[in-house]
Amino acid sequence: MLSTSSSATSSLISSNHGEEEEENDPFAIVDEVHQDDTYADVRELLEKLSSQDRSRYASHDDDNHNANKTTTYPDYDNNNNNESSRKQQHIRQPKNHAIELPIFAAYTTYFGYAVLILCGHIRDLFAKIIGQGRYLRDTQNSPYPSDNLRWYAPLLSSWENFYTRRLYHRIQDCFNRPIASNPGAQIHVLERVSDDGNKTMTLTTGQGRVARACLNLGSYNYLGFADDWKVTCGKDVLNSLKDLPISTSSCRNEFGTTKLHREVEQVVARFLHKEDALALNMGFNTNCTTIPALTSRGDLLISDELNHTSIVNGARASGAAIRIFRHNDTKHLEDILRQAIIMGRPRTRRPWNKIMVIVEGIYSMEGEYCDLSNVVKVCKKFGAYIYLDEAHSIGAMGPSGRGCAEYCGVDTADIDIMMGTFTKSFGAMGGYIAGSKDVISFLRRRCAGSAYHNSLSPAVCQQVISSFKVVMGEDGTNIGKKKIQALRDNSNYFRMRLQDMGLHVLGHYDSPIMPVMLYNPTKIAAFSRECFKRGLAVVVVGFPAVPILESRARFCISAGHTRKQLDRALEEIEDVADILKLRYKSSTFG
Amino acid sequence: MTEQNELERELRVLNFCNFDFLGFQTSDALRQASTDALNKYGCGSCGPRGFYGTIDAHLQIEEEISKFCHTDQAILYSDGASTCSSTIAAFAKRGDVLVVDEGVYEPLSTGVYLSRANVHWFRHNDVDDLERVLKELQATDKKLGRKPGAQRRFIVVEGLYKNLGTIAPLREIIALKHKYHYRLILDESFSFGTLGKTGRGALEEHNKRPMYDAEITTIALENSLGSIGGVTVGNEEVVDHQRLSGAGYCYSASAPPFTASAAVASLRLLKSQPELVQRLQANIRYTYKCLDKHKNSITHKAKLVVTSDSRSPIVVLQLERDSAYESAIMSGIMRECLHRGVAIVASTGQDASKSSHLRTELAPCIRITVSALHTKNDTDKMVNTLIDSAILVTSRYSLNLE
Repeated sequence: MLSTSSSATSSLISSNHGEEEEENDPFAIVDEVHQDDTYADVRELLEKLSSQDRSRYASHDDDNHNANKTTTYPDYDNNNNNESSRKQQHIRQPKNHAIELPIFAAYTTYFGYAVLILCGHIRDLFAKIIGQGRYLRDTQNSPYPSDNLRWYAPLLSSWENFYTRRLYHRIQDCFNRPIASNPGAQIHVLERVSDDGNKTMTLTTGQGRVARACLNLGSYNYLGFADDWKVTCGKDVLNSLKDLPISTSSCRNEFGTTKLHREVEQVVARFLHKEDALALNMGFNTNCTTIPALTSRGDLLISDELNHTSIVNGARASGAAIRIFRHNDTKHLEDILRQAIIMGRPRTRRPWNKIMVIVEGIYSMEGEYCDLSNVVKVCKKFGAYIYLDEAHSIGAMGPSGRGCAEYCGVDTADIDIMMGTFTKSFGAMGGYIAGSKDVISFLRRRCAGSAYHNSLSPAVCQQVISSFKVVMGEDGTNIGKKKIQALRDNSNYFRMRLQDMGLHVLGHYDSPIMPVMLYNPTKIAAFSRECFKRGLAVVVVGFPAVPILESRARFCISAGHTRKQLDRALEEIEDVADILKLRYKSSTFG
Repeated sequence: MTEQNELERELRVLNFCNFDFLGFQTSDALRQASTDALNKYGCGSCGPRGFYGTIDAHLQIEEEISKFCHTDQAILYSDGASTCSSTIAAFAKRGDVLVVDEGVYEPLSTGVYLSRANVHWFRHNDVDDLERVLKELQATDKKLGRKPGAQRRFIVVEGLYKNLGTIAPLREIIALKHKYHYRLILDESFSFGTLGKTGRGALEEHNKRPMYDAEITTIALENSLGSIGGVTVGNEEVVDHQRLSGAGYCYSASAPPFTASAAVASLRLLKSQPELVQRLQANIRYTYKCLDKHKNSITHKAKLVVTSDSRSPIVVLQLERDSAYESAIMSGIMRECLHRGVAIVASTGQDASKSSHLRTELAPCIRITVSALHTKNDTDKMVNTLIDSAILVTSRYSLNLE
């Protein structure tokens, strides 16, 4: 029977967990590395909070006691039973972060957007009547033939352009801030001014450009390789430039492969315990080109609703059918998988050629990690392939930085395709795909990224090799170990303090990304500007990157931050939270 | 296996294989600029442009290249291929019309596919066929009573076709574009730095004005400029829109600052030494002259024909007649040449398969790229080696070619 087999697999996985935890607790290295622990005073609390989240969301230790209850599946032979339990499964699981949108915030947010849109339309109307306005394109006297609206449709039209003009431009100064330094813990942000009502921003000129020194809480510099670049990777990278060009100006399959490219791939494969790997020039393109190479018409892709645009683009380009499951909701995933297998392809009802489930290690806008052990369990049960995008989690999670799989206690052999980027933790550029030898050699031939596109810069390859070696400890130091530990401590401390403030913080402990909900559109700009004034470079995100009601600020913590810096930042944030009324956890009115 | 051994033996070969047309890859100025930038900024940018990934080096290349191209603005992507695909998908949406040349290379066709617009293809470089498509569309408009301003319409072409080494007849295409009121998306990735008197690309070659005659122009920095990344140039409207809608710009980490600095350095080299472009063009002429001189042995003995344009630095040779062994012959020629010290590329052909969105199948071919650094001796050696190898390899298959 199906139920028995599934409980057998689940017990197998859970027993693995048990072993791992008892015999060598991956976090036991803490004391060894940190003789002078800067977080000694809060150490116990941090560990408690982190292990709480870990057992709840990653390893599911709580569930193991009643494993039978949670992993018994409806009996297919019995129709009545089947239907009733399917109904049960449709009940939406609470979101992992379990944050409820306060009604007050929802109403004011809607109201805010309504006012903005109304004002925008009034402005547009007046501009049209008067015939003047900074957004009114002068189509009569325009030198461009394509501005003649009699013959050409406007290049930009409709809601998107309205949103850009009337909503985005008002707070344009909070985004695209240029910096004039390395993206380390401390950055120099260039001041900009606008003399046309924020339509365009220009750098301040006059006596040179003005830069403001800020604490960087926005870059994906998780392991802090941007801070100590000269010590850890600089020498090797500069050396590599001596005999290799900046660009190979050729694709991987022709003459764009250097010895460094091969080395990168070997290092990545070794790091992830995979047979082989393929390194491509751009992380975004890695997803965009491998997914179409792996799947095509007649295949089914099942994707988490919060997956990154690159995955969405790749999935669309593949021509495969796409189904979406609710974020991190493995019950829903299972439901979709079962439906897909039973029903087959639409119309013809023939079985799918293959089914691939695509999830991310850490979701960049949520700060949550994937419920990987359950995803693997479900996929194994139904024989679906797993594609794991570790863009944010590789290097940043797990006791030795091996990403979400290591953290969740999943064997990388169970994950068919592992994708990740070098841009974030490793301070380089590009992305990789790791998998079995067959898959990788197939991709080498077929994936557009390696068959047609320019290959990685050799200097970047060297950066990847050097930083991986540091993380793996192959450079002969314990810098890598320290970095991973520091990142975890910094993030957990920062998250704890933010939660203590009564802010709505998304995500789980041990994840270096922590979004703080702002809700109101006006608070997006206010938060960013207030923080900037206080010397904090923070990222704020609004529509369309997140749903319209869920505007947020996002902090990315790095191993390069010191506790002193974080304490100062927290003080300032507390100040800003008071001004902007952000403490939604302690009060409905913020 | 043999290939691997060959690589590990470290052959010194003449480079007729990569798209480094102007020889900037090995220039000291680029190396110096990259070293300086690396020392200042480190390697990666650690973030997308929107979130503190905009570094002043990025702004510099955007400003300089837009000035160089005589356009208002430019936007920098971190990868050449995603420049094309993101740009097309940012403008053409469902319900819009794209009229695309069948010979476009993979990133463009991916962009066309991703846009979800209505796509109409015309035969490669065939202006009459283009006009036929445009007329048909016009007739449909009339039938439906649709106003010409109801849809955004674009023609998508490459200045110099990567896969075919042909040059788009831009003069005629632009005339048609104005006549039928289409916007032009022009990819100058391979024509930039190689065509035109000062290397400004296909528009300069055909005496056309950027922004007026081609609204949207994409340029990869990976070929002539010897760096990494790509830019789209155009007027303010074109560029600004992509900063929020270009998927590869918005949702991807920005280019490492050193690649931007390297591109600035090579752009300055190109500006200060326009004779480099002339040298390249002289080399191209010489190469075609050599090939023409040996036409006898190439076509009669080796059964190869040159199919690329005589102004193109990408020289393409194809078999005169189709053969079941085409790709084997091409790889054989490439291997033989490599063995004799000349690196050329055998494209084993691209099937318009499910993994790529290419419209047409490409026959297997030999691709030679000419660089400004080559001397006449190099070219002579390449041509002789090519002919010898081609004769040797094709004679093996001669029975099948009869």
